[in-house]
Order: sequence, then C-alpha cells, then structure tokens
Amino acid sequence: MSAVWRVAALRGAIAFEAPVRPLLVLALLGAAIAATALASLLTGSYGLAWSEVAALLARPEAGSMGSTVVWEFRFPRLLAALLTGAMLALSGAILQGITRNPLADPSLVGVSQGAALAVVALIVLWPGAMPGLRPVAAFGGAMAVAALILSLSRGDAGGATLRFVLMGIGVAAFVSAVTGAMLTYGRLEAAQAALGWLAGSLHAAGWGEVRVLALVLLGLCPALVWAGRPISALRFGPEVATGLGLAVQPARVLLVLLSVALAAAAVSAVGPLGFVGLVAPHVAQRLARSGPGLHLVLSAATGALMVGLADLIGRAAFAPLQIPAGLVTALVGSPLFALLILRSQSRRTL
Amino acid sequence: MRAFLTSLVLAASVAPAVALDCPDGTRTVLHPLIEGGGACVPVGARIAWVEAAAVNAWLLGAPSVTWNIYLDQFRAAYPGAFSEADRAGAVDIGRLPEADFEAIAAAAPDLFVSGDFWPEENARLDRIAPVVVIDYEGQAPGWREIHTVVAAILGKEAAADEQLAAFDARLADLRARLGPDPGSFAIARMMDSGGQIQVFTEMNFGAQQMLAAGFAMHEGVLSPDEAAALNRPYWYALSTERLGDLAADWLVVLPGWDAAVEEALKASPLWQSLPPVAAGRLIAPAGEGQHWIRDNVAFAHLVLDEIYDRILGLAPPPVPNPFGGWLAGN
Repeated sequence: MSAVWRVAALRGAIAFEAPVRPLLVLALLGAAIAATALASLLTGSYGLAWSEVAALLARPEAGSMGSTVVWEFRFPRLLAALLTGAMLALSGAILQGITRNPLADPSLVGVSQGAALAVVALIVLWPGAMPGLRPVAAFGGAMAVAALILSLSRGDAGGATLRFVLMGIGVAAFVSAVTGAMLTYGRLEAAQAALGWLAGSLHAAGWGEVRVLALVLLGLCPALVWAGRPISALRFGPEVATGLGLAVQPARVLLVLLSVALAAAAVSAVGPLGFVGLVAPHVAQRLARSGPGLHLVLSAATGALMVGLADLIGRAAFAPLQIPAGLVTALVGSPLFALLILRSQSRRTL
Repeated sequence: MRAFLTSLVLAASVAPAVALDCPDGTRTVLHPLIEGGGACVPVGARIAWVEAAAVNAWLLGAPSVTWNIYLDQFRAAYPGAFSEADRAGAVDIGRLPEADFEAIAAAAPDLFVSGDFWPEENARLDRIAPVVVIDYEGQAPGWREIHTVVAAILGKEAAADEQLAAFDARLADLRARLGPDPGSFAIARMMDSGGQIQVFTEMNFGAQQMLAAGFAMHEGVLSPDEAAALNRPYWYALSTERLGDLAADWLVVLPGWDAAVEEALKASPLWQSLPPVAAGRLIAPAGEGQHWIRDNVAFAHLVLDEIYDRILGLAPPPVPNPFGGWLAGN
C-alpha cells in the first residue's frame, strides 16, 4: 500500500488523497527539467557567460548577436525539445494504455512512418515546395496512415486490439518501404535533405514550431484530462470496461486519435524521434506507479526530460558537430529499454 | 517606330533587373545569378561561403571564414592548397543543414554567400548577417558562370577571366593533340545497392570537360532529358545486365561507395567482355574522383590532367596544370 497525503480544504468541503511517491518523483523530474533547461541556455558554441545569458533573458537587446543566439537559437530549440518529448511520451502512454501492449508507441500506428512518407514525397517529388509545407504534410501523412490502420482493423469479430497492433505493424512496414524506395530513386540532394529530417533533429526548430506545438498541446489538454478515466477502465479489458459503463469502441477511437494528434504534431515539427514514445512511459512507471492520470503527467515530464537532454548532448558533446536528437534518443533509449525489460523479468522470476 | 521598339526591348534585356541603392562602404554587385539580381557587398567583408562556391572563392584568393565539406573534398584532391593553419583558422560547419549555427555566429562574418537549395537555413543565417543567395536550382548555371558570379561578389573579375583563359588555352592544346575524332566516352560508378550502375549524363562536370576536349558522349548513354524523365537529369541507374549500353571507346569509372560490390562486378564476365574494359581503355580517376563531379576551374584542370595521362600517355602534361603545385601535400 503506497503512502498518500490527505489534503482537505474549506472545512472538508474539498478533500482528496495525493500519492506521495509519484508527486515526489514529479517534483524531481521538474527539477531535472529545470536543470536541463538551464544547462541548455548556458551551453553552446557561441561563448556567453551565465550573467550575460541571464541579462539577455531578462532584457533582449535588438541587434545584439548574443540576444539572437539566446532568443532565436537556444530558447526556442529548448522549448521545442521539451514540448515534443512531452507529446511523444503522452502519445506512447495513451497507446500502451488502450492496447494493453507495453511495446506500443507512435510508430506502431504508423504516425512516424506516415509523416516520414509525406515529407519525403514532398521533398523528392516536389522539390520547389515551400519548406513551411513540411509540417502540414507530415501531420496529414501521419493522420492518413493512422486512419487507414484504424479503418482496416475494424471488425465485428473479437481481438480488435490485436488486429489493430498487427495491422499497424503491417501498414507501417509498407509505408516505410515506399519511403525507402523514394529515397533510393530520388535526387541525391533531395534524398539528403529528407534523410536530415528523418534523423529527427531540433537544430532548425524556431518560434514557429514552438507556437504550433504549444497550441496543439494546450488545445488537447481537456482531452488529456478526460483520457485518464477511459484508459483506467480499458486497462482491465473491454468486457470489464463495458461493465464499468464505458462505450469501448468510441472511447478507443477517440484515444487513438488523441495519441495520433499528439505524435503527429511532434513529428511534423522536428521529424521522428525514436524510442521516446516507447521508453518514457516505462521509465515513468518504474519511477512511480500511479493512476492513469498521474501516469500521463509523469510520462510527459519524463519524455520532456529525455528529449531536452538528448538535444543538449547532441549539440554540445561534439560541437561544432551536431548529432540529431533522434539519434541520441535511439542510442540511449534502446539499451535503457533493454535494461528495463531485463530488470522487470528478473523481478518476476525472483 | 519598329526600330525604336526593338532598341527599347534590347535596352531592357541588357539593363540590370534591379537598381540597388547600396550604402557607403559597400560595393554594388549586379549579376543574373544572384537572387534578386544583385547585392550590396561590404568593402573588405569577412565572407562565409557556406557551400561549394567556397572553393571558387579560395581559388580567387579569398578564404572563407567558415570551413565546409566541399573545402575538405578539394583538399583531398589538392592537399597542398591549404595549410593546417588555414583549416584551423576557419570555423568548420560541415554541411550547412546540419551545421552548428552558434559556431557560425561565433565566426562573426559580415556576409554569407549561400545557395537557393537551403531556404530555411538561409533564413536562419540572415539573423546573423546578410545573405547573398546564388540561384543554382532556378538557373542551373554552368561551372564557368559560377566562377564568374563568385568573382563578381569578390570584385575579382579580372582574376577569374585570367584563370578561365588559362584553362581554355590548355584545353585548346589538348584538343589539338587528341585530333578531330578522339572517340566516344561514358562515365559510370558502381552503386552500393549492387546490380545497378550509376551512369552520368552530359550534364556531369567531367563529361563537360570530355565534350569540350572533343570526345562524344556514347550513343548508349541517355540524354539529360531522357534521364530527367526517369527522375533526374545528371545521372540514372542502369541495371548491370545492360552493361552493353556502356560500350564506348573510353569508360571513366568513378570510385564506388562499396569496394566489395565494385570488385564483384569487375570480376564478372559481363564486365570483362565490355569493349573498353577488354581493350584496356578505362580511366580510373585519382582519389575519390570528386573532381569529376564538383565544378570548379581547378577540378577542371585535374580532369584535363587525367585525359593527358590516361588517354595520351603524357605525364606530366606538356601544358602544366596552373594549380599543379598544390598536388603535393603541405
């Protein structure tokens, strides 16, 4: 039984219990994110003392190169990293909740692959297209492929979740093959540009991306608040969820759409960042077991921290060489995920 | 009236597309290859050349404040062109889309010169310093035009004219030695996927030097328009089953990406029976063979060096490469 804080206010009119460990973990994650943010703002190839960064943050100077570096390069990049990490992790946590599959992540429902295909097609087949169209294409591609998987996995017979997962794997593989063919036969320069985007890099993230990501996340906040309850019911399986009064099929579709929208917005802004949607919810769960609502918050914080750190490492570790954050998350995420699996297995055997 | 209209049209076509009002301390540069028709270049500006034209600028005696992969490729072909100090003194940006923009800002350039294929990155550069954009994609300029626009930006038109004239003189000597019909050629490179070979059309830089020297593109090689119909005008992928399409008098084989694939193909009977292979009329460019792909006047001279050597058997060439002093390392 986990410890809880009992909070009461207004002479008992408002009272609730808050689990201690998840809240402490959340506070620690918040502190880690703040430390990462500080390090990101202070670190870079353009030499700026911490006092200069603080002064420029407090009062931007028009025409100053330091101000440009802090306000146009470092700050929007940091915010974009935190937002995309949080959104990918939320997307993964929702998918893992509704599919009851610990391996579910945005790439399972073809979000990353759909976005990749749309952007590669735009770059290779229509090289003159405005770069500003890429996020729109990525979002459209992600939603289209997810919708295709959803419609193909519909059916009256049982096993809808398994059908959804298997259909997702199949369609995602097909879409990836088409993308690969385009990269192979496209113009070399176009293929190079597309590969750069596919690596998942935040180096071009600016205020435009931050605005879009923030608007999407804020807009989906009410849906995220709502999501905790159906995810909680679906964890026990569709029959129990129905018994608990949940309209399972509509709830599942809405949750998938919510997950896809979060991941599509993130991928469209910075390209596919591997492993965040898969690993962040697992790390959050290992740090503190909690109800679905708090788990979503913890996952978001973990995802934000992961991508924030990955971007900091990628741009500072071997500067001026820039390693895309997507490569860092994959390099760190895959062994971390293997470690989590091994540890959970050893606990079960013990 | 008709004569008046004709003169008006002629005047309009000759007049620059823009009338720049450049401030004091800057030089007005008008050139059709510059996006917008022209630019104001600060006198004595520290220029960051962020793409392949950095090599042209170097050849004209104007080092870039940033280093990039194109300068690395040039250095691989001409090791003596740069000293360690030259390289160490410039901020290395690799390839622009993946560059560290803070490092670029730290180099404190007064001006960037970039290409139109990187609009997003150019917009980011513009926050650091003004950007002059060369219209490569829109106008597909030849290598001589690229050299002249770089010279115009630097105010070194006379030096560029001199370099191009020296090249033309050497080309004329080569043509005279080759005679009126030196034969046909094809240029190819093994592809790493195996089963395919990359065939370059006459838009390839090395192919342009071969054509200028009097060779004819082999009839089995697709024209740029035909290649463009497959996807791109510069090269196309050919199945190795159709190696017979490359039965030219001379076959230039650029180094492939995968040595194992290359060796396997070269050992095959299909390759061995190819006429230029059987006749020993293969040209294997030195190093990575980038001088057959990247376009600048020094690389054009390297192509001529290899024609003198591999086809005429004249090494060292009777008319020396003016950049030949850089072929030995520093």
